[in-house]
Formats: sequence, C-alpha cells, structure tokens
Amino acid sequence: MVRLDVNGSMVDLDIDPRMPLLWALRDFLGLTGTKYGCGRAFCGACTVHIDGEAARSCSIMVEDARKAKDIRTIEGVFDGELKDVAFAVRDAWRQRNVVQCGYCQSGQIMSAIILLSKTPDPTDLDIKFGMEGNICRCGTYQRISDAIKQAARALREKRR
Amino acid sequence: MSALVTSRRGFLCKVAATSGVFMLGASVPISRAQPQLHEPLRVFPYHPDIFLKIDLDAANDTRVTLICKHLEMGQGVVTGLATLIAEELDVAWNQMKFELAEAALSPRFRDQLLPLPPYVNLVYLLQATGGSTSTREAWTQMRQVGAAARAMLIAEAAKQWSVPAAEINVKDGKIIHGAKQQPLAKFAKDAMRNQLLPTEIKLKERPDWRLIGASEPLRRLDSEDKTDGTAQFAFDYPRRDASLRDRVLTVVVCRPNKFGARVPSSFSAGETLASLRKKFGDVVVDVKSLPSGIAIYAKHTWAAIEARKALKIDWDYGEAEPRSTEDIFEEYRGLFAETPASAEPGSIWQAENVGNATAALAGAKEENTVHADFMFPFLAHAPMEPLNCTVEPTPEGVKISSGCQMQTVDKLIAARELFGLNVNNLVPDLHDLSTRKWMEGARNFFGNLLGSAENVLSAVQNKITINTMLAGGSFGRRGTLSSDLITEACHAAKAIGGRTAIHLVRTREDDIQGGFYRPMVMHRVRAALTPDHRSIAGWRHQLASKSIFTEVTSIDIVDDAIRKIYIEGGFDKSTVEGVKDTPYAIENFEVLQYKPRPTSVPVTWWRSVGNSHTAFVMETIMDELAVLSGKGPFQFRRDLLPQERDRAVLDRVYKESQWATWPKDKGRGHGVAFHFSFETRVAMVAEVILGDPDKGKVVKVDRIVAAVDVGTAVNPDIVKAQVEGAVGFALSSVLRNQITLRDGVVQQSNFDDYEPTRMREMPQVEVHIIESPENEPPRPPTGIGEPPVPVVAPAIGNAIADALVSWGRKREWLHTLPFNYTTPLPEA
Repeated sequence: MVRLDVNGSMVDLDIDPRMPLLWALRDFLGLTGTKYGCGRAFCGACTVHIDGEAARSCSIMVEDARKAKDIRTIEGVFDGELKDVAFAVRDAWRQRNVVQCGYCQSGQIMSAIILLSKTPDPTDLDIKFGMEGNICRCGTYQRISDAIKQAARALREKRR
Repeated sequence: MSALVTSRRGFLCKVAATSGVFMLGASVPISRAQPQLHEPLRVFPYHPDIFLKIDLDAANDTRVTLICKHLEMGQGVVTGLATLIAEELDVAWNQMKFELAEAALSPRFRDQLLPLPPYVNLVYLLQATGGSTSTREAWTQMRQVGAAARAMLIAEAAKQWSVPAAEINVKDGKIIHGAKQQPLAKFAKDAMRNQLLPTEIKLKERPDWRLIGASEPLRRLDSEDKTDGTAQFAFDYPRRDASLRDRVLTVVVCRPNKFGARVPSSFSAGETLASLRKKFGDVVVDVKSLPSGIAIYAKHTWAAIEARKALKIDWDYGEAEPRSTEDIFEEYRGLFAETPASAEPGSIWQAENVGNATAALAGAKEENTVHADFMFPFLAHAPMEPLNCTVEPTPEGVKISSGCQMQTVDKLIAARELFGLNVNNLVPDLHDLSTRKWMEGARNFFGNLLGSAENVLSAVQNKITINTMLAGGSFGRRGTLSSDLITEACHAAKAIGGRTAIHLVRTREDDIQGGFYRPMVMHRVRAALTPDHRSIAGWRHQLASKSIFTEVTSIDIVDDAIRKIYIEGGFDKSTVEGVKDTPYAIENFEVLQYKPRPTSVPVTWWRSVGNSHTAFVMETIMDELAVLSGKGPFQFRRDLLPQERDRAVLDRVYKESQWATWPKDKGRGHGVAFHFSFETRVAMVAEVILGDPDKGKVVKVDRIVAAVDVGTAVNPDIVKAQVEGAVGFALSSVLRNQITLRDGVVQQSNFDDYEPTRMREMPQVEVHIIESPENEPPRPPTGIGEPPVPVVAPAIGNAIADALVSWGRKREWLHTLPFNYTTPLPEA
C-alpha cells in the first residue's frame, strides 16, 4: 500500500511503488488532466506540483512521491496554496485564446504557475527559461508568453 | 438535461413535393490541382437539428450546441463552425457550446431521409477532416442551418403570438416582438415539430455580420475545458471514470523494428504470457499475436509498457525494408537519369509539359541558369497526444473512442474487422452523383437503401458507435487511409474475444518509430532566365517520392475518392502539388514524376502534404533566379504572377515587414517566400540572425511577418493563431527534425532526437490578413490549417542565404532539409 497526499487528500493505492506518479494519478485516481507525452521528462505534458516545485510526474516513482507533503495536479491547483496565481494564469490563457489542441496546456499552465510564484515579474528571458521544459507541438508559444505576462500584470494589480 | 429537437416530418417527401426547390447551388472548389471539384456541388439545406441542439431546460436563457461534424484537433474548427451558426441564428456568442458528431453512414438519420449521410465533408463526400477544407466546405451549409432554424423559430413564434412573422426579430437568443420577448428555447420544440423547412433561405449580407470577421476575438469554445484539466482527450476517456477504469485493459503492441517484418512463425503467445506473468504477476492479463505485432494486455498502462520491454523477439525479416536513408536517396538519384522516352512505360509521369523545357534550357547561357538537387527526409507528425483508441463492448456492438479524423473510413473498417461485414457497395459513388444528375442519382440511392445494402448499412450503423474525442494534435496522422490505429485496435479487441474493453496505447517511441511518415522526396530542378533577365526561359523539374496512396484500405468508397481526387496516370498528384499548379508564369515548363521501387515504410499526408517540400523547392529556386535577374526577390516574383490576388499578398508583406528599410547588419538576413495552397495565399518574410559561419551552423529565427489571403476570415484571431502555430510547427523540421533509417531501423525514438520547437526558438510572428474587398460579394473562406506551413522553410532558407553575404561569404542557398542548424541559448 502506498499513501500519497494528492490535491489535499490522502489516498492509499495498492500499486507497485516503482510506478511513475503519472500513471498512478491517471490510471488509479482518474486525474487525467495530467498528460502522458513522452514518458521521459522531455516534454512537460505531465507537469505537476510537488511541494511547490514543478515536477515531471512521468519520471518520479510513486515511492519517492510518497515523501511529498503536497502533490497538486491541475485538478487541485485551483484549491491549493497557489490558487491566486492559478486563477490568474487560467484567466489569461482564456483571454488570450492560447490553446490549440490543448493537450500540452495542463503542463504549460502548471509550469507557468510555478514560474510566476517564484518570479512575479518575469522578463522574456525568465519566461523562455522557465518554460523551456514544456513542448507545444501546435506552436502556441507566443501566446503562452503573452499570457504569462498578462497574468503577472493581473496579479500585480491585485496586490496593490 | 438538454433535449434533442427532432423533426417528425420526412425530408424526402418535402423535396419531392416541391420538386427540388430546396436545392441551392454552392461551389466548393478545392485547389488549382483538382479542377474537377470546381464543378458545382449541390448542397441541400439539412434540417437544422442535425447540426444544432437548443437546450430546452434553460428556461430563461438560450444555450445552443453546435454538433460539429469535424474533428477538433487544435485548428479551431468548433469555434469556426459555431460562429457561422450563431451569426445566422442571432444568438450571442456566450450562448454557444459544441459537441463532436457521431459518425453517420446512412442518409436515413433520426427519421429523416437526407441527400447525403449527414456529416460528410462536402469536398470529400466522406466524413473527414483534412485538406484545410473544414471552414470552406461548411461555410454555406452551417450558415444555412442557422438561418433555417431562425426562420422556423420565427414562424412558430408568429403562429403562437398571432403576429406577422415579418415583425419578429431575433437578438441574443431571444425572439422579440415589440415589447414582448422570449428565449428561443420556448419555441424550439414546437418549431422543429410543426414548421417546415423554409422554401428559401436568405443569408445575411456582410454589413449585418456581428460575429463573422469580428475584430474583437471570440473566445474559443474549447478554451475553458482545455485550461482547467477537464477537457477529455481519447487518452483520458478510459481512465477518468471508475466504471471503465477498473475493467479496461491497456494494450501495447510490440512491433518489429523494421517495416515489413513479421511476427515469427515460432512465436508462442502462451509461453510469452507465462514468462511475463512470472516476472510481473497477474497485472499482465494476456498476450496475442496480431498482424501488426505482439499485443500485451495489462491491467494498467505502466504494466503494459514495462512488460513489453521484457520481450525479445526474433522477427521474421523476410520482407522487411533493409535499406538506409542514403540508399533510398541513391535510388532516387538514379531514377533521374531516365527520360520518358528511355524509361519503362508507367515509371515516369509527365505531370506538366508546356513548350519545350529541354530545348529552352539547352539554349540558355550557363550564367543565366540555376540547378540543384533537393532532398527531404521522412518526417513524423509527433502530435502531443500519442495515438490511442478505446474499444468497448456495448449491448448492440461496440463503441470506439478515439480522435477520429475520418469517421466514415474508421466505422467501415471497424465493421469489417470486428464483424466481418462486407462494407463494399454500401454507398453509391457520391463523386459521380455530385457532378452528374443529382436528383436522379439521389433517388437511385434511396431506392438502393430499400434493397440488401440497407441491411448491412443498418447493421454497421447499429453495431458500431464512433465516439470522436478531442484530439491532441494530428497534423495528418489521425487520418490515414488505412485507419491503421482503428484497425489495430479492432484486431486487439477481437483477439481476446471482443467482450473486454481495451485501450490501445501507442507510446511516444511507437509514434516516432511507427511509420506513416511524410515520404522521403527528392527534387532536381534546372531553370534559366531569358537573356534579358525579365522572365523564365525554361524550367525542368524532376521529383521522386513514394505515393502517399499506397497504404490504403480496400473499401470502394475510399478507393473511389482517392482515384477521383488524387491519382492521375497511376501517380500520386499530391507529390507535384505546388509545382504543377504553380501560380508563376513559366514558359517551357516540364514536370516529371518518378516512381521509386516499392518500400514497406508506410507514408501518409503530413500537414500541407506535397506542399511541405514543393514550396521549398519552388521558392528557393525563385530566389536564386531573382538574384540572378538583378530585380530583387519581390519585383522578380511580382512580374511573374499574373493574378492580382497573388501580388497583393506579396505587396502586403513587403510593406508590413518594412523590407525596403532594413539595416544591413552583420549576421542579419531577410528572406521572402510566397505559396498558394488549399486555395490560400501566404507570403512570409523571415528575419534571421546568423552566427559566424566559420564557427558552426547557428541561427536564430528572430521574426516572421506573414500576409495571408483566406478569402473571408471567419475568425481572424484563429487565422492568426494558425499562422503563428504553423511557424512553431514547421520550424523544427527546418532546423533539425528528420526520421532516418539505418539498415531499415528508425534511428530516432523520442523528443530528444526528434525534438519539436521549444519556446526559446520561437520567433516573433506577425500576421496580416488581407481583407475581402468591400465592393465585391464576400469571398468564400479558404484553408488556413496547412497553407502557412510550407512557406516557413523557404523564407528562412532565403534569409540564411542573405545573411551569409553579410558575413562576407558568397550567397549560397540551402537545398536540403533539415538545415541542421542549432539555435543559440538566449543571452541575458
């Protein structure tokens, strides 16, 4: 039995502890917002938050994720500690019509939330490096970058 | 709950009673290469409830759902088609929703007899999304649907309120008469039951458009669910809900590492299962041999993937492709030595022959001549969502859930593979119907339905449900003419008895190594200027490529569609699209297409199809000739483009990019390219920063300025998004992406060695849309999903050639893709 703290709830799973977190989330908990893209941490489609850091769930064994105090998927990020940033990012994504196929966008959004939580006023360069690990095959990068800046502005105004 | 509004009145009898008064002409042209489709195709206004639902429970508001016949794979089609309906129905944009249509083969649909099966693409006459046809084929139909529904709702309200219909207006989903107003939903049920389709459907004039072409972007209809994790892709379907999650088996297939190899006859599924069970336990449920490889059935995805890694198979390589990439190019090069006179009959197709190119080139001076060989590798589509498909038993038959791009083909193949039904002779040759006597053909069609075909057709219809899911990209991969994914999924489902739900999963490695690539292509071009440098004296163009119509299922309606649209003289016309139908005026023009020997590497269309290589060849040669001519790249092209619309796109990009005033900085280069494809004109200017060529091949594509003529841009923001995205999509194939073979084995496997464009490489993209002239009727929309893709490579290639000069080098064009350039890390 493996016990994980996912989206604010403790869950017990009867699975091989070597299973990547991605498949535990998807195949056992039905949290399908986290996507499989490459299985080798090249693309970032499987990005989740582990204790406030962006993590590639395809390459983290459940055994290691067990130590985490807080695992957040896109389904839970709007209720978590970073929910203000999460809503700002989500709304900016919608206003800018960022998505195309949308398959990578959960991961993009999860990475963007961490970027903004650590760098509230990102430069273009911060965005390029912060989002380097997330591939979008549809090529929506320009709008992702714009949306991150827009979310940063919205959060700034809120803080005032 | 939303109630479906259904007509109780047959459609056919109405047509018969009014002798064809419902027939409206609508031309659906496809491209300069496919002239037969310029002929008018008659489009019936379908009963609106096939394409839209009005939510009856929303008492105080109006919710209208588009039932979208096309696959949403990121191109924005649900937003586009909903715009057309909302425009004519006069509902507010935030009242629109969408769902993806169930595949339908029979024209008998919800008690109605229709002129065609309801969700067919009016260009292909199959249900299919592709060829950048969606908006243009549905442009008239969807507006008619909205307008017909509006007229019927008004007629019903007029009856209930006892007021003249002409005094009733519709606005933001409300029916309005004087001070009285009610939501559409109040009348929807009665209108669809009581009201006949209007005898005349009047569409809005352009000045009355609120949504079509609106400069304020409409919110994408698929945006909400795709930004909070709730959007359901095919990959998510079997695992989201516990009811299916706990019983579905994941299947991965271990396929041979060379194309054409087979499962060895000595293979024992039982022994393999026993050894996998010993290692992994009972999470591995079964092992079966399929035509495509060895299927492993496991209780969850990771177990299936891990179990496959443990397999060691000695494949039967008897019919496998043994060659390497270089061997295949060598073969192509050898073919070019042949001429139609010397070669075996049927091995060369003279796709174009105007004047006498050979004589003109022989007479041209060497200093006025350019010539080059161009090589293009296999390319994988690499959609972010790897291909996958769920097959689950239902009381009637099966439900197939996938990102289906050609639902008609998928459904027929499932019927054949799962139930052994003969799926030929079910549907008449619709392509003939479209161009011959329509009514007569349609009557025969309906007559046939009463015969034996109807039984099979209804068996197919009843047994198989195609559940089209959102697709995480496709770029052509989900629309193969063999339905390779659905076929394999059906085989896997059948092999374990058909009573277990299975989810066939392809990993990223399966995707990159699984074939169905953009084919390897070689071009050889020799072209020369006239002595006065004003025009092109001669152009001889040779091409070799495997036909993308090789891996095709044998179903008659598929064969018919391909034969009529894509094949000429036994050759695949898509290979020469963009060359044969070039918009440039070229005297003495010869295009020869060569047929290589068969190879078992499966190939298919890849976003922009033949244009993905032909535009690069045409536009780099044009650039070389432009420099030779001394006229410069814009003037030279302009002078050879007889059509005003073509020149207008070039002029726009010239102006918007401020081409004339660029500083000549060291390392900076500019290049232009223009191409016509899928009815759309695209010109791009690329600005690159080239590293010192003595220190390696390093380039940053800094900026792309694009001008596009799409006729009418239904959603300008989506048109822009498609251009921006096309640049991001194409860039990695310009810089580095290629699938290569060594002794038949694919050398790439994942995003490390087949790496899509990353954010830091993305140039700034500016998109300018040519407005449809106001003094003319609005031009019909043309394609946008594909047309920007082919323009990216030549614009960048021409810019690199230009940048070389700034480093004091001789101007030199790159003729082979990918360029194998890297992009420097950004500096602070």
